[in-house]
Amino acid sequence: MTRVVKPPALTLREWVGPLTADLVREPARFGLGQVPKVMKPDAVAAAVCGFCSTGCGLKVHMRDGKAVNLTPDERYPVNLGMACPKGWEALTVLDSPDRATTPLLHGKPVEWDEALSYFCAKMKSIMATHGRESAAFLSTGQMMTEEMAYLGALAKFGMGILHGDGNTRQCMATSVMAYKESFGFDAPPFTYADFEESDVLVFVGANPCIAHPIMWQRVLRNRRQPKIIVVDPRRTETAAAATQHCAIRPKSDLAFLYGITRGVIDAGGVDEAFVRQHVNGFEGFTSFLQDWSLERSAAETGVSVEDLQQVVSAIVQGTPRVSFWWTMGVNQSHQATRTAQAIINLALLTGNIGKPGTGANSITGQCNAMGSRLFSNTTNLLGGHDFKIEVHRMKIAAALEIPVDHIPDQPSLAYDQILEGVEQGRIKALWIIATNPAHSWIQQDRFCALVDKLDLLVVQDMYHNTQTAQLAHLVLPAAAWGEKEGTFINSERRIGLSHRVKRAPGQALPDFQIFRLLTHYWGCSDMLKEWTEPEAVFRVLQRVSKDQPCDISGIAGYAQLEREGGVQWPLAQAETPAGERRLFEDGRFYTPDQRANLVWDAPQPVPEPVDANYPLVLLTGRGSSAQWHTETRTKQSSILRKLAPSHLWVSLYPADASRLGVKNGDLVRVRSRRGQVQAEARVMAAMQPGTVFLPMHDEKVNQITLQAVDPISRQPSYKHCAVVVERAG
Amino acid sequence: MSASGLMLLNELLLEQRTLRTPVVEIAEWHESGTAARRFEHLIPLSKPGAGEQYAFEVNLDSCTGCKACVVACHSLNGLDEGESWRDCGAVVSEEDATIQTITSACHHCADPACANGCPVLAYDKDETTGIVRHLDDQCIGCSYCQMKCPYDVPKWNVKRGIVRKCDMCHGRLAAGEAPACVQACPNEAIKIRIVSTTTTHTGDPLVPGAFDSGYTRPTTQYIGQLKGRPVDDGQLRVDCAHAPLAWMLVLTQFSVGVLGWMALYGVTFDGSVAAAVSGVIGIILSAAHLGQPLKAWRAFLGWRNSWLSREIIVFGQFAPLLLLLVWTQSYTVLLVAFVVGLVAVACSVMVYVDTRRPYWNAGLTSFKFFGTVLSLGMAFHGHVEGMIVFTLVEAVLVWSAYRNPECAWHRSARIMVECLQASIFARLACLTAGALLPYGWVAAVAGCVIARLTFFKAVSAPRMPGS
Repeated sequence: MTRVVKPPALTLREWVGPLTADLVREPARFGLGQVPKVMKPDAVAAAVCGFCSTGCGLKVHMRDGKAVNLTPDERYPVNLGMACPKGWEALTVLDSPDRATTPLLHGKPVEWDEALSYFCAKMKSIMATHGRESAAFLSTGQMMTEEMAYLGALAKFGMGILHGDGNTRQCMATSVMAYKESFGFDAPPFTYADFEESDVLVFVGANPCIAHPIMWQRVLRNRRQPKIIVVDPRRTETAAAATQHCAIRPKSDLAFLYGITRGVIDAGGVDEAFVRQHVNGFEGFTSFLQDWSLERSAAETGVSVEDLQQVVSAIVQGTPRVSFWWTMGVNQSHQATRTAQAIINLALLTGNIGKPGTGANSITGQCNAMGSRLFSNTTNLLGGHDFKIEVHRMKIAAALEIPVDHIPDQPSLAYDQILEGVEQGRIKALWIIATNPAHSWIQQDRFCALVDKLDLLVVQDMYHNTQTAQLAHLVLPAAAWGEKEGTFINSERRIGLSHRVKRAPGQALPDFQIFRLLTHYWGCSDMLKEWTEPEAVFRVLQRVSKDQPCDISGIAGYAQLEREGGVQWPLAQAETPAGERRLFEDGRFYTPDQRANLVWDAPQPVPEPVDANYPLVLLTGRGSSAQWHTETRTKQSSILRKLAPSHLWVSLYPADASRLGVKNGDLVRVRSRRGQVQAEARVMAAMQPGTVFLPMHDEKVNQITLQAVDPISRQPSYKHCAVVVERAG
Repeated sequence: MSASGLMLLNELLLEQRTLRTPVVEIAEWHESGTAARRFEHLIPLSKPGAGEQYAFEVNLDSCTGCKACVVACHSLNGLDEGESWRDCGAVVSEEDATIQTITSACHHCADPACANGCPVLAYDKDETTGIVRHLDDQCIGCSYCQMKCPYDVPKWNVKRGIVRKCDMCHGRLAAGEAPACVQACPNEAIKIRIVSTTTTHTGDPLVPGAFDSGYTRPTTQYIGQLKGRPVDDGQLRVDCAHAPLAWMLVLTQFSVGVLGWMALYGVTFDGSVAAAVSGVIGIILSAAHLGQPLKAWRAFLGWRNSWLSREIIVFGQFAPLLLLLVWTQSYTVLLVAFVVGLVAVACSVMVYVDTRRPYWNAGLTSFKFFGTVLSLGMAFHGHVEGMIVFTLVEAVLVWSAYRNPECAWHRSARIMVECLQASIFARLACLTAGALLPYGWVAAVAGCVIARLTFFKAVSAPRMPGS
């Protein structure tokens, strides 16, 4: 680095000068207060953050037409002027030498024309030889809604690809299935105001302090002095901040929830009128729960009967202002869907739904997981429709003005089934968009071995060197958040608009435009001629959503989204948006009989129990608030890197550590039947005996996890496998 | 591909290169409250009175460890890549099984060690607000304030060759706005309060594991319970070697040692040249490590408080005396130079002792620096026995500190024994070479340089716990 050596001024003390001037702050407009003079904006633009599903509004500071800085938007109803470290650094991660700036064919830069022609020719030839089933795509919860709809429509209706799934399978598939079976539609019922209006908040397998800090901000704004109960095997930051922490044994959630539910029923906590009018399955469920005494629950979860009783009392006394929240601790499990439904059952039985401060509420992962769930055209037909139902296919064909026979009558295979298809040689071409399975997919070595079996692997990403892009035959350079326009749908169903505030580097193009070009090169432009810009697609999606629970036909375009600070679905025509909306206020659900369903099953044993050779349970999860998923983005910011652990560490319980002769800071090996990683030991009582924790962001961690999925949602169980820890060296 | 395909492609690539961001209507923003109003409950409404100053207040129970404060400090102050004036440490408790985050910036101490140590008065403690400001254009980049501050607050800025630090966003406070970190905390865990400067922290550490507050009297108020041990407890950190300083110390001490021998046995031409060459090179080296050497002429300004300023002044007298000695070969000049040299070495000792770092305590540092003077002075004249005794005594001291966990510099001893074995072997090699080979003093000097690098590397600089 070249340093400018300044000559001294002719004074004893230099109070001002060029170095001081570097840091001068000046009042700016736009409600910003003082900002660094060198970055003083002449305009601001609105954006919704592209990391997690909280969906924070950001004010992007523009100077001479370019984004120079950002601050959280104090008017946005989600975050009220706050952001987590990732949000603050959202612009920084865009500038990186790792950005993909040109298409790469077999590692060599090529022109777009060649790349697009190669894509189409190769894909067509594979599908001609091996059939429509031989191609598949893996999409993401990180793209804009319009983009994922475009991808789904182009791939399935235009190109005739049968199978596609998204990385939402790794985070939200469980909630989707649970809500569908219980409520009749994938409909998280809550609004963030419920955090502030609850008397009791129950968090199951959720650590919002670290994973969703801005949601935790809303919890702290609760002025009702709520009881906060956290159910988590680890004493997380959230557990420490709670009024009660139930440190259940890993994956004993069902035993916990069934015991609590039985306790609530016994304590007279059932809202009988509500259940009679709006809920199916009460008798069957109560008789199933006969076997679930608090004592049994205590024995299976490791939580004392007194503690369980305390939870029961809190729920009974807190009704009707009890809200239940869950995240990946529930969703990533071998019996995930039933666990989520056990939470939903509790809310339904106690009538804690459709009222302020209530709900069985799934906190989403990615910024547009909800958009993916509704509009990616993978598992569901566009707009939460069903591929198998002819009426739905006819409706979508009419709305899109395409022939109905272009719409497959079967949903896609799930992520793990697509990969199995590759493994078995049935799927020969894979197109991966904005996700990094070579790092994130469970039991990583299996994924990486698949690549040899593919005739075509296309990776479309903003960075040319993600673990997955390095394996690709063809890399398509994509513009990132901030370099394109479109909408995200957050956890509380709020559709928010994000603008283009920066130019993409080199020849990178927005995914939307890549899809448009592929449409053209494939030769199906006539079919998607209306799909010219994101807002035009948004209008198509509005038409598609009509008369669905997720009806958004009443939104007056992007202008209204910007004006209102996002709009929560549903908003049918002639409806006026309310600031905060929750679902099921009238007790009517989206099932055919408009009644919610109680769903239950007996708990199943874990797929890989501990034994003498592998005596410890490995849990994985978020490492810090400065890290996002496979870190392709967050590692680009030096300030975020500084806030994240500099190397892999494994948390161990003190007694386990001393039995192994391991001290805090020692180097250890964590080994499973699939592989091993080296990590530095962090000895902490926040763990429970017999468990170890590894943050998921390190690329080696999924070399030891076990590929096991929930049979209903097919979501991988990242949070349980058997390992042994040994001293390294 | 068809012409229409290429047309579309070119159209989209062109569109990609142009940017027309729809910006938000300005009038609307004006109506929507200012940064001043939104955070007014988090900062004092009045200025501090006599005997008072502004201070950070951190509620440890409200902090959930999201670290937005660290990033907001970076973004809202326009700092360099990776630069932030706020840090987070973590403390884990076995008893409560909790992890707690300790966010800290400058503590705007009532008795700021950084300001007291600065040779050029590049620090200013504001009389009204008590904010300790760093004058970036005054700074010479000696980084001594980094050694003086027990909280790792002043941050070295490679690009500029100076340190920079938290100024509590003084301009924002003056305008009734909250500092960046205060604005950014989702849980309102950071506030600005007015505290009394007389009763502020005189004894107990700010939080368990932090440095003794009696040294600088930091003003930050940590409220809420903090239990447990730093998350990096027991882990050893090798600090910066400060190579130019290590060479400067050894060469100047060698110079004084040679003068000392000549004071006893008479002036020799070789001796005076050796003393002058090493002394002058040493002094030049000390200037070379500065980030802004052209401003170093102001180094006398801090003489009232700063041992570094005093050291620079005395060495400033020492260098011409050495040259005069070579010119005159006069015994009187030699005696004057020797005495000035001893005073300069004493100043060197005090530079490090004044940081209050346990390993740099007065006894040990005096033993090392004056021991180097003595043993190198002897070695130059062919007597390596001094060096052997000196090294062995030091080895015994290190070993006993290593065996004694109660020793104040036990951690430093651990760093030497566990992380810096190569240095130990190198010193032994130098000692052997010095004893067996001709020109043994060269090997002795090399051994002392290694020892001095270790002096810096093994210091185990204090900082906020777990950061």
